[in-house]
Amino acid sequence: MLRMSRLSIVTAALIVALLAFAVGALVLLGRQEPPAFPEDTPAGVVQRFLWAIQEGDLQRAFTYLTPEEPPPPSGSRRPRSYEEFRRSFSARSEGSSVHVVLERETVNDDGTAEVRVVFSFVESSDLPFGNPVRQQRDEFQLRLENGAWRIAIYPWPVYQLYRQGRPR
Amino acid sequence: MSTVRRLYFYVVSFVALLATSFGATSLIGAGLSMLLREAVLAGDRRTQVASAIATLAVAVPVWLLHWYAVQRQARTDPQERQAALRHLYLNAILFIAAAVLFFNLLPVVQWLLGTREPASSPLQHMPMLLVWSSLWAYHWWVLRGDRVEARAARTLHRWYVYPTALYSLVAFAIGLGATLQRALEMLYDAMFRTTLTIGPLWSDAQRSLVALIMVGGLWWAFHWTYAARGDTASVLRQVYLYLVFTASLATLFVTAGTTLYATLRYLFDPTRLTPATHFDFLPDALPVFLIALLLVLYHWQVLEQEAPARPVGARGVQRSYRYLVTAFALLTFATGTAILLTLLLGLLTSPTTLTPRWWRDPLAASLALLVLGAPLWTYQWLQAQAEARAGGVGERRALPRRLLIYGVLAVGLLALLGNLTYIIFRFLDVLLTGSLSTRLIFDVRGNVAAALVALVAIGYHVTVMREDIRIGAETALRRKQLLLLIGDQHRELVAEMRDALPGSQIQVLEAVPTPDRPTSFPLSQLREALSYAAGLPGDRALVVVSGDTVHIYPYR
Repeated sequence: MLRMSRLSIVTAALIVALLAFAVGALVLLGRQEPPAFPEDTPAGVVQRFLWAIQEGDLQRAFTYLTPEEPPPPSGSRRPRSYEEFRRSFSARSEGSSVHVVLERETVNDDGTAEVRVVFSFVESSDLPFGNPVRQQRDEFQLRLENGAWRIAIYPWPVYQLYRQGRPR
Repeated sequence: MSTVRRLYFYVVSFVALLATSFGATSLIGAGLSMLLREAVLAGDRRTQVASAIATLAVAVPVWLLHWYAVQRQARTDPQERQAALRHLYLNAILFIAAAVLFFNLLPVVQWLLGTREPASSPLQHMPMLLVWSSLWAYHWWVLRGDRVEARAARTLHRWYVYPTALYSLVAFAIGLGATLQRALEMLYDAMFRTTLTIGPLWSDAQRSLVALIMVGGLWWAFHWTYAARGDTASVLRQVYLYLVFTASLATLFVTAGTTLYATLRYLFDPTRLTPATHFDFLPDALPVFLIALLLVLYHWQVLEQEAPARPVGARGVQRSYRYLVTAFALLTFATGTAILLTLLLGLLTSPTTLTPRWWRDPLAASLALLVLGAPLWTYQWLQAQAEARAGGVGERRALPRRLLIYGVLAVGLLALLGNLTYIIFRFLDVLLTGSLSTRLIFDVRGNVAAALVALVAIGYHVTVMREDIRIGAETALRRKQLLLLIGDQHRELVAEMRDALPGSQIQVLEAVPTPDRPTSFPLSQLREALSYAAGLPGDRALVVVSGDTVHIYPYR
């Protein structure tokens, strides 16, 4: 019985150590503001677009999109007007947490660029018996418009960022 | 109390109690809503109150009347306190209550942690929590008062305790693993990747995970470390332990295999992707690995510590685990070998048109499978063979062993025939069209490798099968029915004899000891008596233990 108690204590100590590590890492790293990319790079424009959506400032986010309606590529997310853009964010869940990392930035000679990112979601919809953490790779497509990079196509996970607020 | 009368009382009590719980939940919900002046958008609270009062007005007197009757009987009659139906009722209520409390406590803890989700409002869950926590506490108290002694009562209590411990452990592990996964992802991103934006640290999703850790941990700690403490003689406990152990072990191996495969792929061609992109699965894999490792180590320790007190009936559980893991390991080992052979044949006959490093992925996959599968299969199979040698014909006749051997033979034979057919077809095809070349070997290399592996597996398992048959594993046994009238203390022996006399069907009548005729009897002599009864002429025998004598009556 004594050995069993010792086993329980060791197991509990390991669980507490794992939890302490997780909480420590989340608190330390979750409060750091990510470094800002230069605004004249495709990644910088994507970053500012994502920040604007996180803060709920859709008016500002809309300014990072290409000004005119582009030819309709399949799966295009470019809305025709600001109204349409705003409406598309109205019914999204606010419960999840998403962070986005840059995987690759490709600038092409024809004035276009691709920014490949990884979205990491933490959602409670599958709980208590499903995995709430998942990752998704996606791509932003940008065009050079009057010397500035603007987003022509953005992926759907940006909706999950809406009104999350940036960590301060 | 007769069984039918008992059935009537407990079924009516159960239904009336459920109706009472619905009525009480509805009434408390309406009361709380009115107290807090919650706005009503649709429907009418008065209708809800009327419906709840009507339900309670009928259900409460019915329940009280019936429950009072069974409790009065239970107070005076020790047999009634141990009745299986009574314990089915008590443990069913406890199981339902524990599940209702678990699923309603989660959102309330989320709300206490500050969630914004309307579904977590305590108003929706408090009535359930109040009603079902009262029901759980009362029935737990009644159960404790009954001092569970009868075998059926103990078994029914285990059917409440172990499944509840299992789902709460799964929920706890998911909460802990996901929190750890998120922390490791952020650490990995900070060290190796460029973060564009970070989501809120204390999101509703994170609150859900913390709630899961708290509620799951609390439920598991209570049911496993308190409710199931000291229950080492239980077969269901062994099922629980082996289930968690096997599932965790499989998770551990799959995660280790995936990590090893990815590492080898990177080592064979480090230029294809950056290390940060190539290993970005690690923050997902590592928490799963760590949690599975923790579960494996803990449950292995518990299994080791409880081995001396393990009931004989648990031998089947251990055997099922052994052959299940052996089958899994053999499949891994065989697949790894087949991929490696395919690769070797490919290297010997590869055409020049192949892309460079085409061998990278198959080599990484085969090495990962072999590194994990070969030692695991060797260890488990050697253990299984040692147990078969020690256990004699009973062990060799065991269903899991025979399922494994004949399963391997069936699958192996099908694989062999299928692949051989394809190889012959391709050979004849190129022969008849006049295009025979070494390219044929390259094209059918996978089939050749699979056929070779299947052939070796079949060959080896045929020798094992023949050895088992020689010892008597397949000898037709005369079915003998033994009806035993024995005391509860001899139950362990019955499980042992079912293993030792595989041709016999043993049924047990539990004798009630009386002062002049105790039912105890030396186990060794009873063991001999049962073996003797199994060998008597006739299809049936009645074995009665009475005082210090065993009476054996063969009958038709």
